[in-house]
Amino acid sequence: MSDIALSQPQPGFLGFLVSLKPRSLADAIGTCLLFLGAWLVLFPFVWMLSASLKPANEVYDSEFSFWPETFMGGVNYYGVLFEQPYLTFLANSFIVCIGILIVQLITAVPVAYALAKLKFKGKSILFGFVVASLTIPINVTSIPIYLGLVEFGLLDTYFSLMFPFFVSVFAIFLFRQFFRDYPDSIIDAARVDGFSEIEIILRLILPAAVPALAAFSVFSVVAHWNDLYWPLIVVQSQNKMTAALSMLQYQSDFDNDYGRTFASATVVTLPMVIIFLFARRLFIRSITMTGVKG
Amino acid sequence: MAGLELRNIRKSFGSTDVLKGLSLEIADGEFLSLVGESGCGKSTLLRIISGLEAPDSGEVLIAGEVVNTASPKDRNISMVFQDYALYPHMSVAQNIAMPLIMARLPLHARLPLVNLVSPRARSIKPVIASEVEAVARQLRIEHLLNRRPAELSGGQRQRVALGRALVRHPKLFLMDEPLSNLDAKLRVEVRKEITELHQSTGYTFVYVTHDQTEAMTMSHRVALLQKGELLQLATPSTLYADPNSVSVARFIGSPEINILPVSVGAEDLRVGTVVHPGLAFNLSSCVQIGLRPEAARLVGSQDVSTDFKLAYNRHLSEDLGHEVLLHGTLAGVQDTPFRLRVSQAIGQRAVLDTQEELFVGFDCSDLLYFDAQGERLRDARFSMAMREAAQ
Repeated sequence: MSDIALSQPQPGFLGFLVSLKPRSLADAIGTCLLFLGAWLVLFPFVWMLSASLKPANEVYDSEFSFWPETFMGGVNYYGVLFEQPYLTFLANSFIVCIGILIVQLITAVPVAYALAKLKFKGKSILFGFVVASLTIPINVTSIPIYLGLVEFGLLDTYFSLMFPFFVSVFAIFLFRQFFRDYPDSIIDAARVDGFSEIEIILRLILPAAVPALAAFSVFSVVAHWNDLYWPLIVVQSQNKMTAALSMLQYQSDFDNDYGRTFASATVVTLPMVIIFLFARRLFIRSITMTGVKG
Repeated sequence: MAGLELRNIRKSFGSTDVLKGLSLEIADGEFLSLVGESGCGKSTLLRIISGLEAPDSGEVLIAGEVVNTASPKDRNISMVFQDYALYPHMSVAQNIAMPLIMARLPLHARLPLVNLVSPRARSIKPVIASEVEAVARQLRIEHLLNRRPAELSGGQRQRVALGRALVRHPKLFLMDEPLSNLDAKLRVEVRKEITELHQSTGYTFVYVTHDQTEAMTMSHRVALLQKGELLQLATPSTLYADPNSVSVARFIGSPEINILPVSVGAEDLRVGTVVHPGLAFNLSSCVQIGLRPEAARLVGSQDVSTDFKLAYNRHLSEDLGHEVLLHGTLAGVQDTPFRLRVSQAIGQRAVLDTQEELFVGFDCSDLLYFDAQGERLRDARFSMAMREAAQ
């Protein structure tokens, strides 16, 4: 009887509980480890939610309780949503993420196509450079880029927020791997039929590469939505602040309003959590597709 | 005027010479097959003709014009690929229409959205649609026009690929092993259709295959390639009856020709245990002979009508109904297999069924003579006989 219950998933919460019933000792240990892992990942978020409801002094309390003694949730969230230009921050983040994504696709797709399908001298060396560039962290290039932006007076602009990310080596690598599997004979047929190389990309390769494009898009948007490092360097005024950067407004050398900071963090994370719920499969694919995390 | 002319084409990939100075000429409207084992350079040659690959040296002329620097689309050619190479996300109609759209619409009118408003695109599209329909009707695929390639069977995809090639009325029709992905029955069917297509359109066809049956049955002439060189370019019957070398003789014909070592004396020829005397034989460098499996015949033990008669040691017989294929060896040449086709029709079967000991008989005029390098030696008397036999 229990076998039938296990093999036929029941609807609702009861079904979920039944699915947790261990089938063997190893299964039970595995489930426990997974629960532990899930808890490790989820606890910071729980703590963030809890802290966002508390006054600053209670955040420091040595005893952790999820529900605050003095409920400051209303004040914290009101402050985040209405006492600062929250929509401007969201819009800035949105503009930056989409701008970066568009330029990344425009630069990466032709490069990836050339590396995957065209024959030219030095191709393997060029691809070697691409792979090698994957290993360079942004911190190495940020100082020369920053100095250049200062020289041209471009600090505190959308351009300066996007510029370092216009060429994504990860995207080139990912797309190249994906394009390589496209049948050569179809490309040859297209050349005989009169397609130009650009049209081969637009009409044949891209429609076939939608999964890769979507996966990379999700990946890129999430990465730059959450980026704190670069905006912190180039943004100087409040009206260019991105959502992630706006969290830091409540911190100074003298006074840290942690309750409000965490309310801000919650609100900033929320859009990404929603995107993740909708595009979960794409997101997972973007990480598993090449086995490389950008 | 020549439909296609190749002058001294050379091509190498790295240190491998794929084509070593190849020249040939194809008449307008001719059906020519390029045949050879894999790696002989036949596909590379086709890619050079199409413009997908550039030769290292040499000239390609289509309809009398040198097209070395022209891109594939400017050569007005069509190509059918082994795996059909249909555009996977387009419908059959779009697949067939694509070459016309590319040829007749300027770049800006091909862009998405623009093509909806461009007056030129709007005036040309119905014309293209009607031409696509005509080609589809010709190939009997008009009921498939709205399907995607993934929803078609192998034979249907093959027809769509043919349609896409036909629709632009090319000067030159190139096919790269188009039948190799089909099952045996369908292959015979499509083979016939391609031949009919060639007859009805009158285009110049260049057909690459490793299958000699396709080459022999479909073409006017066959070019046999080996290791980047043209071994022989001739009609199928000439290739079969009058090959230039052992390689050609071996490649053409199924079952394979028998090649036997011989020794030549001043006026005699020894095959196995038998010496045929009294030959005014001027082929002193001959060391091997070729004998088609159907050129020899079973003879009775008392029969002395043939120049040669050797005891036959049968290892295996394959009964195909209309004929029996024997595998064995001849007396005196035990190391070399000898295949024999015993036909139902000429009463040979009775000999096979009744006799315990088998004898194989053949005449000097049935033989092809080759020297140590495998080059053909032609004796005037015998080659005359061969030619008559071929006709």
